[in-house]
Amino acid sequence: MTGLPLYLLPLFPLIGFALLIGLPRAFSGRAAGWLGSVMVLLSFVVALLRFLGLGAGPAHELLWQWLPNMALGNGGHSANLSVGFYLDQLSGLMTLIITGIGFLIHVYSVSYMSHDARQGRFFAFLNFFVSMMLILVLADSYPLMFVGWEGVGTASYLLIGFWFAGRGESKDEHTFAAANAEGISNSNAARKAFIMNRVGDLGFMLGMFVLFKLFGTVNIPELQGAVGQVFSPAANVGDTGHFRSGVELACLFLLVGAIGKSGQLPLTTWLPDAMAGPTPVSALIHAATMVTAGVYLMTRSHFLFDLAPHASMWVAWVGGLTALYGALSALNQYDIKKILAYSTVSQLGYMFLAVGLHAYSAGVFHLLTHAFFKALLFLAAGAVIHALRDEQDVRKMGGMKEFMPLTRWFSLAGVLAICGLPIWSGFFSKDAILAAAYEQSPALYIIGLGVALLTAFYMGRWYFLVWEGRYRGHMAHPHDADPLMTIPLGILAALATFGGLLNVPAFLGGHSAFGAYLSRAITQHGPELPFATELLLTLLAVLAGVGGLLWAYWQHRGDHLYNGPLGPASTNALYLQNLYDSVIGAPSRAIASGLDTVDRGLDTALGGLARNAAAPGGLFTRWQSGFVRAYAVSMVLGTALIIGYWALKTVGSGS
Amino acid sequence: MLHLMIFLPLLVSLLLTLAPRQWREEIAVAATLLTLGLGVAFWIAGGTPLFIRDWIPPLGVTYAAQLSGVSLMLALVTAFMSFIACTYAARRIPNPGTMLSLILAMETGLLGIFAARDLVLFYVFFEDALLPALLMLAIYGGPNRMNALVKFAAYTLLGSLLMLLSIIGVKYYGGSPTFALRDLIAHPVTDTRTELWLYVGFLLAMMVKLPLWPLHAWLPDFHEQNHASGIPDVMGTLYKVGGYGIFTFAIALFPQAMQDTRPLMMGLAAFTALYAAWIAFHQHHWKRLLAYAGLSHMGFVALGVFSLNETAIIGAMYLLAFQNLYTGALFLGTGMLQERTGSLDTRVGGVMTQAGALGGLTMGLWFASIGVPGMAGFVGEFSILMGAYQVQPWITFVAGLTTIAAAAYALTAFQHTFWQARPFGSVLVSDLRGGEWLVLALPLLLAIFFGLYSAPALQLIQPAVRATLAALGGN
Repeated sequence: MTGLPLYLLPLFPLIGFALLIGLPRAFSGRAAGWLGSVMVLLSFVVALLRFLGLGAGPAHELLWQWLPNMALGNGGHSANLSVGFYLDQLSGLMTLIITGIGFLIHVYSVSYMSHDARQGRFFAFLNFFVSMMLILVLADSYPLMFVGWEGVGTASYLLIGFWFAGRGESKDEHTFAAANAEGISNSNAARKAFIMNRVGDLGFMLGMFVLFKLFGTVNIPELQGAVGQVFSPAANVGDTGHFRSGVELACLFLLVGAIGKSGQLPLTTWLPDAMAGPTPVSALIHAATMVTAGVYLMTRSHFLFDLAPHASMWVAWVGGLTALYGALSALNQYDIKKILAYSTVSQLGYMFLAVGLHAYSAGVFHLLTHAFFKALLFLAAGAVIHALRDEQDVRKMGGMKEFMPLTRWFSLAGVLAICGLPIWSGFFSKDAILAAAYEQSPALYIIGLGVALLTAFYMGRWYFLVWEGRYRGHMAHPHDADPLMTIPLGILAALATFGGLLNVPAFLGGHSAFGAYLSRAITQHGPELPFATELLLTLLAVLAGVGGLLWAYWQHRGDHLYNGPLGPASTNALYLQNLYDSVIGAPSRAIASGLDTVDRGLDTALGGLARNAAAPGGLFTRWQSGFVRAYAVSMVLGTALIIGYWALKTVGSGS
Repeated sequence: MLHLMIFLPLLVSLLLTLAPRQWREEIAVAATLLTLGLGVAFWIAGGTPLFIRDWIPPLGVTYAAQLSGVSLMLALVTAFMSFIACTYAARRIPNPGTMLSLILAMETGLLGIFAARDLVLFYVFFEDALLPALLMLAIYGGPNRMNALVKFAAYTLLGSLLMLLSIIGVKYYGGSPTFALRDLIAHPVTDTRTELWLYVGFLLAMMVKLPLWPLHAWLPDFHEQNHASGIPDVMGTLYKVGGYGIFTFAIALFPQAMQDTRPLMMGLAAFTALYAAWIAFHQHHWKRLLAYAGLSHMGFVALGVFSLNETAIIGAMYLLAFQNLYTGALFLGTGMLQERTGSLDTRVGGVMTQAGALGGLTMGLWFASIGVPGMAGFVGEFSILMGAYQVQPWITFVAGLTTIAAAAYALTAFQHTFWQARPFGSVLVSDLRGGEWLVLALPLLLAIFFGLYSAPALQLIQPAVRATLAALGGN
């Protein structure tokens, strides 16, 4: 079944979006949710069929011409860049993650959002997101990927700001003040996400410009060919040094783009704020799929990063430091979702670490398992929030295992998976990353291992504060959610538990099936460590996980788990946001205000100048009545003089 | 047929004064539709051939006109936005006869600017379009309109005076028999210093009309003081023809001067883009904010045109044409907002809780305006930056910062108006009705269509840009 065209994948959810936005009255209430879910399911079916039908080579389908002069042509002119979709093992896998997990989260949301007045809009945006994400991973060129890239950013903006006016109704001044405060905070979070992503997007664009300057195309398969030609031993290019430094620069720019989208240091502060969106959004966009786009971008560009050792080192260090930053910030959070958000930042750091060390299959494998267990944890958190009527403070939870036994077991599977305990999926994927780090950089390995310990601690803290102990809140009878929510949770729990078995490494008796599969699209050499070393590394990683959990349990027994280590420094995420506000936010506002004054003042100043020039001399008194003319004349002539002078100077220095 | 398209609006504009009062709206809208239809017919036919006749033989002035390539693209957008403006004017302005006449009169001027292939003819249409613009401001403007009016007129008139001098100079020093563009190209000015001075004269007029810093000061006041409905602003946006003038005339007539001043002008353009976007961040008046947003777009257009890079110029013309759609529609959306809340301030708050369609369409238009990919603005902006980077990486980097600033000003203003909670006890805002839907949705749909499927527009722009640059002899 390779007959189904690839464009169907993004098209189905896009139709869903158009229907839900265009005909809101036709799909009200739960009908909207079902329509959205069916559209994603259709995409999933197509993705599955195409994935199973994928042969040895990639599939490449062109649609129509789009951007001027940006692809390789034959002859004097460049050809116009086409819109095209490209399916190989990597993008095939990504489409399955996006549509599969996307479908589960759609179904979950049908129940989760059923009390919201604007369900139609919610599912429209969610469908729009899935469509854009599919364009992102299927794109055959960087600009088309950029369409998906900013498209998911837009969807993320819309969904973070979904409750842009707060959730409560304003019946009197008090409820209005509360709603407005929530509305402002949600709107600010959405805007911040978009603007910080734009910083990264500029990097992505500059990366494309550099690549075009070097190789004359931004189409990825063409680019791969051109890079191969320039750097092949047989090529007679002579000096490849210029190309090498160019590729390094392009890779650094692409890294900036990836940093923005994946919430890495230093563009990380938007991701925790993004938790202002509904919880299914956090699960789908801000954990499982969109934020991993940076990892995807760099894996897709592996043929460039392979040639850029310095840029790759930057990637690895950004990843390592962000993993540490996220873990430290997660230690003392009180919001059930914020703990998970900082954990996501940290886990994305692991993926960057892997990609920077050219261990692409380890990075992508962690992307896969992380999508399972983090979506699971977020949806479980959502179930708790739902049961407690929008309570998100873990200090007002506790003992939830009594009320929601099913969700508790699912959560436990997620916690064990992220802590990397054997047989759970995180064990295999984290292990592969740590092994790659050990082989290439001891410092990064130690950071990675330390983060594993911290991860286990904060996830243990999360688990014990929410599920164990006694209930500290005031809800009468919280209970497990309906099957629409628990069934997706169960499926994700199963995947989080057994997903790791896809890639059992050789020293544990497996065949690294996943890595072998991916290597058909992305050539790479895995780590070749002696058996004893591998075993020792694994043992250390597991010890870190168990140790962190025991640490959390010990604190739980002592009942001082409330206050995690590092105190307010961790709660405030190491004060990074405060730094940005004072170093970037306030000055740029001040400059804007200053420029505005100057721009208005330019008028007054020049007008005043004209007035003063005209006043003393009796010669100009006749001009008094129409002084604006005089002022305009002097201004235009003055500018003419200045520009003329500059122009002459440029010519003079040029020749 | 070409002349019918150019002069039909003017003719109908005069007829409107005679037409029975109850039919004026229908006649005006029908005239704009007919004009648009003629344009589409030319589009299908692939453009019109050059039409050239002597007009004032002793002075060497000819009547040379042609709509093809870039000029046809811009004429089509002008005809379309005039249609939108008339549709909204008929709905919004009580007793709209005068406004409709002025819109139609201005449409003729604008179409003439794009069609003119003789520099004196260009000058004539250039001035011709100014008159209705001034009248709109004078008749329908706000309390400080005199100040804005004088400033607008002074800048434009003095700019075009310099342009006229420069045009005469080109003919005199080049020794061309007429002012027709093809004759002037055949008789180039050979002395580079003379060419530079003539270029500076022409450039100043175009810098006023682009506009470009520091000759932009008329623009914010012009938009702020114009009628709150935003209709004159649509026409004012279409009147930003500086980028087109430089592309069509300056590249052909002053190739050496453009090459020599390239870094300077690209720097000025990039500075304008960033400077305007930064100031827009501080505006609380919707129309002033849109004025600076438009100025920022024009910085991009100028960056593309002055870079003399093929891809960048294609992008510049693409952006110049299509920014009219969403900037114009945003002005009209602002008018609808003002009609409902009685204010043009950006801090009214929570409008989207009550007027979802107005908020949603405005948001879509803003996304188009800040160059979100998949919309027409992106094709233009991206091509400009891509091409300009190949010429001047650092200047392009500065211009690239604008994309961040644009997100900041657009989303901040949008949020303060449409998001957050509606202030307690404020007036209830009604949602879009009838024709208002069309006025906002049609431009947005076109912006999306040409953002995804750019081929129809590229087929007009790309060959024209290649032909112009081929005459330049590569770079």
